[in-house]
Amino acid sequence: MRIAGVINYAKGLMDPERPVECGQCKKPAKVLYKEIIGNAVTCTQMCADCPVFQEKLHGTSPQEATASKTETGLCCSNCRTNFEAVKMGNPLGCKECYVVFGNLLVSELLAAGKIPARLKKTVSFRQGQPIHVGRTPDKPLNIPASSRLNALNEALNEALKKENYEEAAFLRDQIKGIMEKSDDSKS
Amino acid sequence: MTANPNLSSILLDNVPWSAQAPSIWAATALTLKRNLSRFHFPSKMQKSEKGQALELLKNLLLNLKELNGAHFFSEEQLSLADKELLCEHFLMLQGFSQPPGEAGIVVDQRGGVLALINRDNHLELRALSLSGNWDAVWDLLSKIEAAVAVQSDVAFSPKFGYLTSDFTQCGTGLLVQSYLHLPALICTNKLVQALPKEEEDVVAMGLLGNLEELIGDMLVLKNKYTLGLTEESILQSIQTASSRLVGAEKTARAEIKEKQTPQIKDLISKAYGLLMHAYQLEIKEALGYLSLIKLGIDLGWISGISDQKMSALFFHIRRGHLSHLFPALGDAKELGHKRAEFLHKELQGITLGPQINT
Repeated sequence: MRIAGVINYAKGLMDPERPVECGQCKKPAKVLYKEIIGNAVTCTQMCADCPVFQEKLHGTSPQEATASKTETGLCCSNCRTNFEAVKMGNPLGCKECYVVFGNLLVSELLAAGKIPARLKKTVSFRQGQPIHVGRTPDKPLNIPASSRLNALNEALNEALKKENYEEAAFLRDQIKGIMEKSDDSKS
Repeated sequence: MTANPNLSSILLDNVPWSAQAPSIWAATALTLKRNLSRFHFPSKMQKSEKGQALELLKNLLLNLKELNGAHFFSEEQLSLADKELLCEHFLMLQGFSQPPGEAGIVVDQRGGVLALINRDNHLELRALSLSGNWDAVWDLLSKIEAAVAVQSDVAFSPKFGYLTSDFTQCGTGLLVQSYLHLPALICTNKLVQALPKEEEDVVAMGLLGNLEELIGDMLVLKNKYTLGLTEESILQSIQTASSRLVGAEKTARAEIKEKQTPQIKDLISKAYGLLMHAYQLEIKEALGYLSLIKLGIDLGWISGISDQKMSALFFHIRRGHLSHLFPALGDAKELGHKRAEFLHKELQGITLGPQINT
């Protein structure tokens, strides 16, 4: 037997000992959804407009229902993920989604402020160019101590320039710690 | 791999800060999100596909020398209380959503590294450093990630970087959080000036996810972007903003000590009184008072308890931990009463110094 219950959190009554994000789309949680199937009890916190919550209540999210009715939504042929559902906070279904929705995802990233401001122009005008500047699978992720020391030294000079002596002392301790560690590993 | 112990016993044996008291920069958590190229992402995986991915990642992680002595727990094995403990130890951010089957976690024997398998992504590696020194945990994560990549291609595109199920986390797939204890800045209303500026690549929040309510005077800094920045620059931006806040907090503490600020003495002595005598304590107020006592210890105004013991109380008084001490805990009122009772016992012996008593 399946029993489901919903508790709405009033503002300010959020339990501080529980996670506060929607378990599905990371917006602030407003609803505690409790489902009892047999002996198993599942508690999920969700935002009020979470498509997963709507799906649990009505069987399908209003957006998905609309998309399937009108058949206007762009869909990934590999996993059947609908772009409208992604815009509503649903996850992507496979790596092909990044190819199918490519430029639309870039627009969403720009709109959501998820690309550093200094890159926005470049990204907008040079569509198709890589936005990723980090490591690639063929390069190791480790950061050499020298590059970390350079960055800390820069921060130290900046702190001294601004006469932030406590910050400078903290940075100096960190530099000392890294240097001691690299001396230990050499010997 | 050894016989599987209870997850709660691993976590309760390794309560953060019980061996070494935290400094102002209390902890750093690094999370790497990865998907395997050959499978759909978890939300679109068939049960059999999920089972394959789970077996592959589980066996791979349990055989890594970097995770020597690690244990696997399937989603079904995890109780609500276990997930609560994981959240309280900063290891899980969203422990209460239930992925449908064929998912689980791998935890190292120190309870400092957690791998989530088949939740939002195939693999989410999270490691916790109990200080501002994240080099060792970054090296560990890099090694684990490299070992995974050797065994199975990771979903990656030159344009979007590492591909995650949430497209706002693609790129490096790296989430960095630094936990800073800033009671002096908060009490003296100087926090706002020291917060990261809008143009910085870092955002500040409290443990509840907003800046309006800073529980236990704890501020969390995290990176704004995972795409368009290198791993080094993400870590460096957290380092810079955290160091600046640590410096500002130290300056504020030195000023309080020099000026013997009466308002701060009043706050600390009231916190002492309430912790020692309250009948019920909610978690928010208890953490707030403990934070002030910790500040009092740092200023030399309170004695009679070690910094480690004081710091570990930050975890011990939370519901997940308390419910292991008092298994028959009832409603919130009873929890509050037990928390107060527990604190009375643990704080016995602390005394206010002459700076406050006179």
